[in-house]
Amino acid sequence: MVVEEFRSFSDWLLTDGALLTFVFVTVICAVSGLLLGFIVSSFRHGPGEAFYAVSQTVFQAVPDLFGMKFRRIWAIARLAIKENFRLFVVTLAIFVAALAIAGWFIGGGGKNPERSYVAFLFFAAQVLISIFAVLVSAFSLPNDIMSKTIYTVVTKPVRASEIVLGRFVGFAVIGTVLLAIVGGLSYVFMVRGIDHTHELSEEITVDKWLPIVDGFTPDGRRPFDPRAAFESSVFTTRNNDHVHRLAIVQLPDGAFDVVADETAGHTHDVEVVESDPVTQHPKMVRFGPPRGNLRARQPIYSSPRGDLAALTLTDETGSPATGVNVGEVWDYHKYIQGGTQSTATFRFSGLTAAKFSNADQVNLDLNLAVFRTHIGDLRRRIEAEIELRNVVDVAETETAQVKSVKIPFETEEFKVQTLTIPRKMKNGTIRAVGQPDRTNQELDFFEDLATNGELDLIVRCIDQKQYLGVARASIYFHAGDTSFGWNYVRGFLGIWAQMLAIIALSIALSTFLKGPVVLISSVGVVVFGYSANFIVFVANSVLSTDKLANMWGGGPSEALYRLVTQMNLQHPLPPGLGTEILKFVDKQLLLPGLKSLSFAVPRFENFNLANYLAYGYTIDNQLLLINLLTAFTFAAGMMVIGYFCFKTREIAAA
Amino acid sequence: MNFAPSHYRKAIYGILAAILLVPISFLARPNQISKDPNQAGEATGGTISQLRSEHNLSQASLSSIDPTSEVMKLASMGLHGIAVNVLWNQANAYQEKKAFDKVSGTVDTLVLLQPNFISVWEFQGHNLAYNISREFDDYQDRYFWVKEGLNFFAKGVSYNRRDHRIYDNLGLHTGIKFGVSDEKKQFRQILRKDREYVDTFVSKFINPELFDRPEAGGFDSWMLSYWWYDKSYHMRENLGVPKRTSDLMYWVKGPQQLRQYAESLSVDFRPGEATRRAWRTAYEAWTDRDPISDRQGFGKRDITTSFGAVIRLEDLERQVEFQQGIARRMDELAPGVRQEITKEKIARLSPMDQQILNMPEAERQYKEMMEMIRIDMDIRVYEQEVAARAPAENKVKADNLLRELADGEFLVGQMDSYRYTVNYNYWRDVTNMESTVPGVLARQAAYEAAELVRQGILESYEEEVTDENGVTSLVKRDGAIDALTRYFQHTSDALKPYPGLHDGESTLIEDLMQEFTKFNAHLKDVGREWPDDFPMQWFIDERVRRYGRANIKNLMTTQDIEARKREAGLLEEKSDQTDQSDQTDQSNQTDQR
Repeated sequence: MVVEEFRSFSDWLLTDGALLTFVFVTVICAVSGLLLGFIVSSFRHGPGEAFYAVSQTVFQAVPDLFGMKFRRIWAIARLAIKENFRLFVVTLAIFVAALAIAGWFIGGGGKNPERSYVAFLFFAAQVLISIFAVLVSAFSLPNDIMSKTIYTVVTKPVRASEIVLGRFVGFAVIGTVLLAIVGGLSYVFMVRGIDHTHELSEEITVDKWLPIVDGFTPDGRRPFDPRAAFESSVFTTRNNDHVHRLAIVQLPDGAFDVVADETAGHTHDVEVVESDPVTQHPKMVRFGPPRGNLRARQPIYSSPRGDLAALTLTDETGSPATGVNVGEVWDYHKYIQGGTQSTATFRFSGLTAAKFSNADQVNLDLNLAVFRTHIGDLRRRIEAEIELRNVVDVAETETAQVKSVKIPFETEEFKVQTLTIPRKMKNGTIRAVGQPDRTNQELDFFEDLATNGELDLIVRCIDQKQYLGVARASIYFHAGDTSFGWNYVRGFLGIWAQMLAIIALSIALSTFLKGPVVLISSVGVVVFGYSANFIVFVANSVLSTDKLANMWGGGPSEALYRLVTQMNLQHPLPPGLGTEILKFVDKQLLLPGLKSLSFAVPRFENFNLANYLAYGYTIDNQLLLINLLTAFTFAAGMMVIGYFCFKTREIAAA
Repeated sequence: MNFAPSHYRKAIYGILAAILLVPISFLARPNQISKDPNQAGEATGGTISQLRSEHNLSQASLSSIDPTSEVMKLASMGLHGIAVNVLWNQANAYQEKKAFDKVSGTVDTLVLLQPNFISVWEFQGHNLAYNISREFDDYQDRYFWVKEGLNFFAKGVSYNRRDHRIYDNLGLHTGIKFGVSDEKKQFRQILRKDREYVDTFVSKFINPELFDRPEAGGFDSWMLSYWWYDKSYHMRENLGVPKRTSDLMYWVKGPQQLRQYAESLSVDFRPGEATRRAWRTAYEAWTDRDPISDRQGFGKRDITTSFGAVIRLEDLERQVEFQQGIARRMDELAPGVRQEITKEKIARLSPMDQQILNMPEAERQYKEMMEMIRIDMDIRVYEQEVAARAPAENKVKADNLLRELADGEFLVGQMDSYRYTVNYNYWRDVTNMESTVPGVLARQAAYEAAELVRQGILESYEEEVTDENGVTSLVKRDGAIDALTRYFQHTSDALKPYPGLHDGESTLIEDLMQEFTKFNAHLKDVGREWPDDFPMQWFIDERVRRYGRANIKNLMTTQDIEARKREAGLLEEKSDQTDQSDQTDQSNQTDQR
């Protein structure tokens, strides 16, 4: 899976400036809120009275905050739940209908059907829940005000803060229940859609079982080379829009076993039910459930160590380098040259036996890119090797350098390739200062190499004139798998966080706008939040003084001008006052304004964690925490704004 | 009742809307299914429906109606153009970030919005089979994506029942990816046994037995591409689907695949009778009639040229003959004029040019041959010149003949040019030559030679063989040099009747020259000299005469061999022997050499 950002919660909060942004936005909002309140009040009552009115509103917030009673909040919440029950049922019905139709489109074919399932289900759930959240919260308060039922509420002993918060709680509860049902249904839909088994496509004869493949390496580590099955002419039946090829594997003890190749992102365990009495070749087999589709791998990525980056490269002479550009538009992978001294060093920390589900065999997952400068031997994939080294503390000159034997492997591009490293490794080398090298040493992965949990992993490409592409997420230690179901719940927590943010936003807007306007405004803010990353990118590139970083096409007003006049992006704008005005509006008003606003809105696209599930990775706790805190903070801010807006209306002024 | 002004306004809007419904119903009324059998198939709807039917633009006439596609278009509420733009951008972004499964999913959605826009199928199918396929390092992954691309095209068939280009693309890309790409060897090997792919996808369109060829070891990609093209031909010929491409490049495809099939059989397997028959089939499909599909051969197809003339490539010789007939008739109208003008033109040549002209053709060397091209142009007699000197009483007839001649020359020019575009003569001769017994024997010998070279056996050797009676004897086995000598002997026999193939720098000549070079290298490896009686010495000498010494690099000509003999004193010895033998035998032997 592509991971472009590795952020811990503390990094996000402190180093990346989330806390600072929060404080900044809060202060701006508070000051502008007070100023706006004062100006509006001045028009109504004059400046002297206005100061008094604003102060009173602010100070009344204290008892309104601390005097809130859960009983009253819950009463309002129950009301909110009751009045939206019909919409709840309709939304659920739409989702069920969408699931029924989705079955026509999402098949088990393709390379990874689970990715299609997850992408669709998360997209559907996210859209539906967002629409539901906007609809329930946008019209509730304005309708109450319009139908004057709000007066029956405000005349009761209930605080303005409780009215606003009560609605939030009510909508959040009904939304959460809906999300839970949607999540449960979609999970069952996906699991049932992916679950299948096969049978043999036709009665088999001995001659059809060729080739018999000795798929085991001498130490019995690698169970099967899936490429061997490619030559087989024995197939399973077509179920879930795919078939598997089968090959016989001869086990080290001479017995035969049947292996299904990996198709559609999974394989099946095959149990031999009946064998040929003469040749011992299997005749009848039984297939188990799919294995490999729904996973939640727990990766341990490399991380910076002191001043050293998590991943560093060297060039063909062994000097530090940034990697070769092989002409890819996407510069995610950095390439190292094969057959030279060019290497990629990954620095790992926290590698302790306790973190691995099976510490006797450490799994190393690889997801490397390959670039060939010549065709070479097409039947062979590009070869590379890895070497593990302990981390020598420069202060401790006594520490010996411990190196594992070089482990060669054939790369598998665009796949997660697993190398299993036994805890006890043979043929290691120990080099201590002032002593001859000790070779052929048995090394313990955790005690000799990953001492104190720290380890360097060096990758080289063996084939000359060929290149290996690496990124920080290309190589990681695979600690084990967590439950896919639990990971699915965590994925839905992202949607839940988004729902809370939208509900709070719509409630805040509904305290001073009419229902349809709230609807449009909320959708506008959500779209803005989705586009925030893009807006910041455009603003940075247009406002940059570096001409090379400037994006073709300029800011929004220049883009509009080009769109209307059908002028291409590279063509310079005609000189004159019009162009100057366009550029001024873009550079001085729109882009700085939009960029500033983007910091006040959550990046809604970050709430979608479907990629982790689609590619089979456990959703990082830190990421989840960042999402939840973002949503809660935004919701809290919106509640405060909603409270003050509601409070300033005459209906709740008392 | 009290009506506010807004109510009046709303009422007026309602009435206007109702009035507008009348012209809309005339314009947009859909076709009705008529119960009257006489009116079946007639457009009975509004003006727009009638226009759609008239121009075959209704969805039903373009393709089978797919509810999914229609729902998608409706759901986008008229904004499907924008949705398409978004999806294209998304597909590009996914591809840039190597999320290929997402690209595949996105384009699947994309085509639902633009199912009848062939360029979308062409672009995205090609993208999957070529650009995405080559992103993968492993050839088996590449094979998967090639199939994804082809399956994508196959999905387009049902959406475009009135367009043959989807089948053309299937033929083109099946042929190229499995037969020409870097991975062709591996791809063809996998495809031969890929029953799953064939049964699941191809069998919906083509009976697998048609391209399951025992002589090719299973499913053959060239035969598969041939049958894809045949599906397209079926649409054009039997279903009356309009043509979308130029006739020449369209009709050439089917026979081309048969030729490629024969070629691949000759290279991948030991050639035999099956190979000879494959070449024969390719020849017949090229020139006369395709014996497999029983369709018109390429040479006999009506081809509309860019000038609007309809020609058949195979008619060129007949047309030339017809032109010559006109020239003869011109000579009858102006007796002796042609010879007279020729004499005058020859007289005007320089003495040097006259010397070259009088030189026997066999003696002309490269330089003289080049000069002769110019001299031929200088002494060429044009029919206009003959007609101008025709007697007065035949003048009108001669002018009529000239007009007839001009029309014919235009057709000859078109045929010649179109033949040149597809290399018609060359492939006609090659397929014909390869389908002869010497042609196949030559291929066989070449195959054996290549195998022997691979095993490192260059010289012949003797092997002990024990027969069924237990008797052991020594049997002579050929080495690569013997096999290559046989190859040259058979090639010589096969090539001689086709002078058109001796010229130029065709792939055939290129391959042959490479074989000469390899043969020479093998001889040197075993310390032997270029043989005195090399079977294709005539060919090498001819190349030197036509294109100069540089054309044959370090190969030996007859002159070199003679010189070598002289050096070795062989000629003297021979002349001594000649004295003792019969004079007549000697002269015969010399002639043969």
